[in-house]
Amino acid sequence: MDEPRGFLRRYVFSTDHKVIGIQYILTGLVMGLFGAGLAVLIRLQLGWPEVPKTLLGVWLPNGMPGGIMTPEFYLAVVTMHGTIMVFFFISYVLVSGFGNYLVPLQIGAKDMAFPLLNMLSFWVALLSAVVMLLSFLVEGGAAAAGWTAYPPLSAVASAVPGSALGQSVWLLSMALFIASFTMSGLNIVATVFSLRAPGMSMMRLPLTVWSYFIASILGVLAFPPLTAAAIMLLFDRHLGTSFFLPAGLVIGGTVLPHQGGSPLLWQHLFWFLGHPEVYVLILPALGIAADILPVFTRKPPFGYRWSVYSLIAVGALSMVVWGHHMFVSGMSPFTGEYFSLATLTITVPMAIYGVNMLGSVWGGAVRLTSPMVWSLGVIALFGSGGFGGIYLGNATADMQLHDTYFVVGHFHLMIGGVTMFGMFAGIYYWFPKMFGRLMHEGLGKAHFWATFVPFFMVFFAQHFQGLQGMPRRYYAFSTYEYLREAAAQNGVISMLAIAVVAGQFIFLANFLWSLFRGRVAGEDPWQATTLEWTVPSPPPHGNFVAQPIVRRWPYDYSVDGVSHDYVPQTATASEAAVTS
Amino acid sequence: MTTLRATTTTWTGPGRIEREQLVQFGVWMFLATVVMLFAAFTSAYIVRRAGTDWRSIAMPSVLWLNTIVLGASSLAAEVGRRAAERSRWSAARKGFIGAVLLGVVFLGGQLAGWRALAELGVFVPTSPQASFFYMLTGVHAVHLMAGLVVLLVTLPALRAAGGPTLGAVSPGVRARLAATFWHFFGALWVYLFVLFAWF
Repeated sequence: MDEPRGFLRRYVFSTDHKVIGIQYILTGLVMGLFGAGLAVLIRLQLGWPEVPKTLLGVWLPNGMPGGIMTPEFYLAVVTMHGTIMVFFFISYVLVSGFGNYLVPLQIGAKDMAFPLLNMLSFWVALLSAVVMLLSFLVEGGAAAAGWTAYPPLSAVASAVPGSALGQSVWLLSMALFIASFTMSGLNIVATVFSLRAPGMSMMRLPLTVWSYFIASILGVLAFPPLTAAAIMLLFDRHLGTSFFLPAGLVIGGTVLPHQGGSPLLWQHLFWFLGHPEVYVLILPALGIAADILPVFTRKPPFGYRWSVYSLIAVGALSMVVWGHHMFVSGMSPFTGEYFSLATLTITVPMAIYGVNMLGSVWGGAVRLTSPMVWSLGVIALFGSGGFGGIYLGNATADMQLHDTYFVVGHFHLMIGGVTMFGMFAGIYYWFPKMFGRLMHEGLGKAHFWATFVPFFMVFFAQHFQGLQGMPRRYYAFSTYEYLREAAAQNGVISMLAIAVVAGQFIFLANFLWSLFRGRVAGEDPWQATTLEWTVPSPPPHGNFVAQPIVRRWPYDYSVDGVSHDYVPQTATASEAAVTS
Repeated sequence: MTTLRATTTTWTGPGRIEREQLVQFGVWMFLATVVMLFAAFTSAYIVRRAGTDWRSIAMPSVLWLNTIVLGASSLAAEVGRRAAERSRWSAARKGFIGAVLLGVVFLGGQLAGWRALAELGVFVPTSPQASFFYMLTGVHAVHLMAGLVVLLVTLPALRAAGGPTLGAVSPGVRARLAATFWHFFGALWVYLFVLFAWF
């Protein structure tokens, strides 16, 4: 493995998994800023629908003439917020970014299995992100059919302005995304499967690697059905077929020529991807949090084996529960019963995993560093978000709560919160490995509190708005008498949501400051045991000069009879007793 | 704790056999994604079939001929693979060239099948089964073209010196993987043909 020379080969068109990982993380963070900006637009609208936002009216003359948002633009903003956050923020930073950076380092490999494919995957991903952003600029504006792209809004070009060119661009961007994400997932699976260092048995893998392994298998198997659905949608849009379009559809006063298709077919295909996809995103966050806990409690995690089994079980179950997104679609009550039972079965392994994380903290010598508080935040959000899932997984309750803000609150705690907190835990924890300097502790904790408190309040409150019957996707609630009280809460919620976004500037400042001025980290600033901490920070090209030999599991903290309270995975049995 | 670290001689990464296993694993993973893609199409087909407007279309007879051509192409690729694994390079190249030529004939035949349907007035939106037929044969043709590219880039490697290397994988293994690809897409066609003709 020759080290590439020259700036371009080294930092831009690099095949080094560490560079690619960081490229993914930075791309994802920039996309996250866009997504957060869209969240601010949404909340400004919901909080004060009648107050003109004059300045925004100047910047967005089409979407907000005179500072008042049009309903069509609201749909486009919501669609793009969801799309960007799910696919371009969390997927890039947490899954492809950290997955690329960590997996080879933690299993003792020099690089990913297919480095060239890896580079290709990143550049396609970047292109996909750029195309998605450009869709705001096309005629009619960005897609407006939701991140789930439900037909007929997504299938009939004349439905809303965003259904025209914007939806086509959306589909093009998603095609690129799927190609890139499949390449990246395939790479991670092959790497974990084949490139583990001698001694690194599957049951000696850090939970982080396990979570990426399972998540990547899910991604590789679940995305192709979305590709199939997207191809069929393109046929419906451009070639006059009727896969998703029923007869008698009237749009703009004209009856469409389609007949016999079913929009529900799209929903089935979409959620067959969509539900595994949420586990693709959340499992890495859970893996990272579970791995950070032992480092800052100085003891092994509770129930490692059962955590691994739980990840596997959740992965398998996630493929067979998609119907719980469609309880009100008129499905047979027996089918609904099955999907309810299967969904509630997932709470068993997830509860085991959650209790294991709690048990990992119990009785530990807790060090409340930035990565640790963000990991504790993951547990808090996972617990409270999970409770909402029990209601929504049950068909009887879901029929009342479907399409209300209860759902919005639930999935933001889980797929927004757990993933984002896991991501920040990971950034604070591995920043010193990536850049050789530690992030500022005080700012890290300020960032945590500035995020956690308002974030939790926003989405906790939305559960109660949902219980009051407030439907999602409406651009304003001013005309509904029964929602007078619930709508009045929107102002406070909006202020809190904007506070969450404002809090992220603490992180940005910390990130930039720490890059140049942070305390120099050294190899192992956290006194951790996994392989990435046995190499310099940042690691050289090829990671390991000599092949590491793994002789123990990754959690040998506070082993009896050893002077240090941690033993690296490479330490021999004569240096410290092997516990697992 | 520098004393606790393993020190062995300089390490250059995975060896040839490891790389070959890796590439093989990657090929099968990729084929698994293709299986999932067509599984989704199949489930959509079954669901859509229950619609009241479903009318079956007669399969153009040229498709039988095409099936035989693609089978022959697979056979040629198989001859090429066996020859390559026994280091009989000239025969290996001939087999692969035969597979490529027959593959191109198959694609032409598919086009003829489309034209035959169009002459009968069966177009993409005419009936749901016609939509599926045009779409799935199209998607299959795209995969087949990718398979042709794989066969063509493998061709220069089929020689004693090994030709241009790709990730240090030996020519025999590359021939095997290319043939795996090709057989898979051949079998996929048979599956689709059965689906259209009898379901």
